[in-house]
Amino acid sequence: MALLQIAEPGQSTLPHQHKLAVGIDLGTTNSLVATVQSALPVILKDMDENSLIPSIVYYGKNETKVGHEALPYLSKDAMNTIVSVKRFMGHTRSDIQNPESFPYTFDDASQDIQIKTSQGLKHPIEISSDILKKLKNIAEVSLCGEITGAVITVPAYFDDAQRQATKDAAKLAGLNVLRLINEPTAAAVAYGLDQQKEGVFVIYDLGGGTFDVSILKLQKGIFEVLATNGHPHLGGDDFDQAIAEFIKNENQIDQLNHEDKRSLITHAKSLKESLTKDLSAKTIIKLSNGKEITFSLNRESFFKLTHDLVQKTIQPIRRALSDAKLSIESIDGIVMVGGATRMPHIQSEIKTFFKKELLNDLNPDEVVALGAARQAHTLAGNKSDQDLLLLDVTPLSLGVETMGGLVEKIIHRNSTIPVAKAQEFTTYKDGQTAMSIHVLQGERERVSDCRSLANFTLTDIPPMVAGAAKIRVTFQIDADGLLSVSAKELSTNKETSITVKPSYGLSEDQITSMLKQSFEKADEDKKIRALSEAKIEGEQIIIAVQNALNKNGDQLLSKDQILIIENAIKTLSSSLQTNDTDAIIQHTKDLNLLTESFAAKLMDQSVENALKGKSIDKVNL
Amino acid sequence: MSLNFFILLQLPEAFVIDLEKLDQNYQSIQKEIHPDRFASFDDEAKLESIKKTAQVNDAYQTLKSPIRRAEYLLQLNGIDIHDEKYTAVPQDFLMQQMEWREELEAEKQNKVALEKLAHDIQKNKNEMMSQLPTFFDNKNNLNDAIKVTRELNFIEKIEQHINDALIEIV
Repeated sequence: MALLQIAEPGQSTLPHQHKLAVGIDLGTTNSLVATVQSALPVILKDMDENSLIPSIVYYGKNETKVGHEALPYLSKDAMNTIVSVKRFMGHTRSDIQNPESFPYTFDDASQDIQIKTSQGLKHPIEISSDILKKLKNIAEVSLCGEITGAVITVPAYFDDAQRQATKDAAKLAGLNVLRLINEPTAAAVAYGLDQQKEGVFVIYDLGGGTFDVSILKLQKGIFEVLATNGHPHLGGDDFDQAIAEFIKNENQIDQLNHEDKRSLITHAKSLKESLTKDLSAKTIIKLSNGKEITFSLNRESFFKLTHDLVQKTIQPIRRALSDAKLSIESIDGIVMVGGATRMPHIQSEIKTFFKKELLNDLNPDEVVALGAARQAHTLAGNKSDQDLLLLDVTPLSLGVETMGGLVEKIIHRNSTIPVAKAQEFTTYKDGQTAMSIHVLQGERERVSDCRSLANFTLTDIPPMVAGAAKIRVTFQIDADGLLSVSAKELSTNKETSITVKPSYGLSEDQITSMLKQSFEKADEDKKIRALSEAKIEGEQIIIAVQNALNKNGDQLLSKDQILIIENAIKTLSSSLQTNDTDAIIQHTKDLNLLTESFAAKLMDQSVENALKGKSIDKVNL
Repeated sequence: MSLNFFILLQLPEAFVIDLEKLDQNYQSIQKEIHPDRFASFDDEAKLESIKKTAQVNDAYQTLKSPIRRAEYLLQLNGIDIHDEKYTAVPQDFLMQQMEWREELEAEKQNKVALEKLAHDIQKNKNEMMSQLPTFFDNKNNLNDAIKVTRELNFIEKIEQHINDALIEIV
């Protein structure tokens, strides 16, 4: 019997499935969504032709407004209008050092950050998911179809908790996350592919609230990140803040309500933007008490005022260069990314540092989303003419707490991901059956100076004398930069159970209940939803199995095995034509079971074939 | 059981390796097994791809760095240089170490002095590196290889400290 229909690798065999995949730049101040159309990445615009969507969410009593529609509420109802929520992602209440500086009320009873709004308490993950829902909607309206997958960008310097929070927000928004990719890497993809550049490049990415610097080697479609560094809380917002503070001090204003504070920031922002093209700028601020302030600022004072902020970006660059073991001379180009890099003093400072002209060819606001769209297109399995491969790194070292409050590093920063490292632990008491492992992220030696990620409790350790049990704990960081941990007792070869208590973010239960709530709110017919989910999953696994079989089924499986799998596919295919949810789920499970051991074989075979110098794809086609 | 890194990357098991071939083999494997290639496969394949890629990354990083490669070769010969058995360091190297550390402490703010120190240490390191191939040739007596690899480990650490100090100087 002939093997199944043979398609291009990574491409669907089902003719009706052109997959709509998007790249999303979920920014501190603005967000964008992009897709690939006719082999070119394009930014998708909303009905009013806006491509930049302000990352602002307004929670009115009966309505939620996102983006431009939320803008007017900034100065009308500051308490219920959330901006820059990205700064709260993956953080706890105790991370907010100056809660009074925000116009919101935080819930003091919760360890998590929860903002009191007229719609009740809102978690940063929920707020982000509302932004993502808006972007998803823009994409679906613009593309006239359902989005099958999304690549979402995160700052390269985001830690595990911040990445997990972003992924949870996407899940809550009903997005299928194909991959989280780092913003500078996404920018490099846009530059590398659209501009056909090769060599070693520095990506300087100053966004609204985060700063990243990544050094990449570009060659023949492979984007290899050599090192990354950054500052988790530094961006265009800080420049606005500096101007706002200056206006306050100059005019001796101290009693300001929240709306006035917001309005001050808005004016500061527009001054900053004007100073990008003009030598001086003027603004008139109306305070709520009726007082009017006329304020003007020239470039020179602005540069002086924010010089320290620009300097703060230099240290991370030097660290990244040192980690990559590169000198300034070996850099072929510097790519400027993020709206904040439009400021002239940043341009001149970085040019002076590298002694080189900077690359500003692509719109610094759009380049991240464009690169993400490119990657989404490839990952969704649409045929891509480029052999695109991103080899990214983990930005921060990962370690465990040892005696005396010290951290022992297990995975070093700038390790290429995915990465897995094992560490052996032993018991210190006779008969001990459980132990707790505290995992931290950061570069410092003391636990108190690093960021606590989670406490893993290992249970079911077979009771033995102290020191006899050998527990191998494997720490794995996947291609999204997310950590998972598994453990095994070596003498008995028994998996030990792990319970995770994350130091930040939401537990799986919380997410599930939020998801449930949001579905209920959306008033969707659950049965229809379950059916459509089952169908999507069923279709996906058929494609997956066919991909695997096409790749090298005949090398790994006997004819009989292939026949059995083919039959299972047929059964599932025919149940997909019905509306019998249970049958679809059952047949999906059956097919899954049949192909379980196939994956490991496939991987080994791939390695072997790669080194024989022949690609499996080519062999089989 | 983890796979021999040399076999995985198809290079002869030796200290001197063809670095260009290492890069080439690494990239060809990555192109086949990276999780991005399995984004539209089932969870099982995704997980296997992560595991295998992590292994290949580990192998590549280990073989790429001469010091890690030396450590790994010794490990294949049953020698863990971090084991207590090998902690003894020759007196003269210990003295040299202390001198370097003292200088680093004294010149922490002095860019020129630190750069000179880094340069001197680099020279020392290069000399030691150049000895390693011969030391590894003698499979029956790896004592010299153990000694030099251990010392290079120390040197690597002090180099890192000097780099850190240089970055801190504004």
